[in-house]
Amino acid sequence: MPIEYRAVADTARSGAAATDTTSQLWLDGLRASGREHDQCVAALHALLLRVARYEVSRRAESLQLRGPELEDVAQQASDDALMAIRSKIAGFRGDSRFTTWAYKFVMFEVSTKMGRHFWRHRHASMDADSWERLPDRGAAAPDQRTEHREIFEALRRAIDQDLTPLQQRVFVAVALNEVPMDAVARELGSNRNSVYKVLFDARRKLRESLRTAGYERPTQSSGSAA
Amino acid sequence: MRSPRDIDALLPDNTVDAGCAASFDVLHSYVEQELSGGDPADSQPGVAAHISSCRACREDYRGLRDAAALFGDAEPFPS
Repeated sequence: MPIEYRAVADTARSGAAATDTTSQLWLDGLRASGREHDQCVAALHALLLRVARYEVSRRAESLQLRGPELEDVAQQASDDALMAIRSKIAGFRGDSRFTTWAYKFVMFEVSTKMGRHFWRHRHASMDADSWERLPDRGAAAPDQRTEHREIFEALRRAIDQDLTPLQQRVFVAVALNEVPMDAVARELGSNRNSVYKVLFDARRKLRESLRTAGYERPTQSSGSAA
Repeated sequence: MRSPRDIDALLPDNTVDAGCAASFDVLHSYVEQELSGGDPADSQPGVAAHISSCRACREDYRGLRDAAALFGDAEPFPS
């Protein structure tokens, strides 16, 4: 069954919004020619590099990157973000400050580059039988342990029996071993969006399997309407 | 029987999930709305649901929110 993502009409804006003065300066500079253009591109690259350095530092601890590697990721991310921005600038609709729109590409590039670096430092598996650890994750208050163990046993069976090999691999890597989605995507020769769709489908199958086995989910909070 | 919290974390049930690509397309406006005091989850529930379920996009969202707050007013030609 295909993934059923809800159409994102609620997220899309149909028209261009009024552009603020500073954003217009950026747009004018990038669309100019000669020295003004060159100065604007240089200023933007310097800004993107600053943002990239901040972002890789923010994420460094979780990915165990240090010093030269961080700077390498920041440099590459800012270079590639600048290229993306210049090629996509016609798509800027003015529905945010220009800088916020531009920084989005830095985040994307940092994620991609850090996914590439992930496997150099971590040995988390995408394939090991990591769900053997599930009952430990579920250990909570003593009076709930039996209940938890039953549910996690049902989940382990569902992972083993109801998921496709690709769904098993992605679910184990992302949900159990906490491998970054971009690192999984790189390993699979795919992209984040496609990996997430596999994960989304796997989760739905597992929820259904648990429901069939008699384990009802709690009432969901707001924001998850049909 | 209610399922334990760990199951909820492993198997979030977001039926309005917008997905990675569609969320990325509007992440800048989502962040700007939040920084201006609005609640983007009201107007963009698919993105809010996705951010809560996708660790990778949640990191991008957090990074973008911080960057926009810290460096959002930068100008191309400082006066």
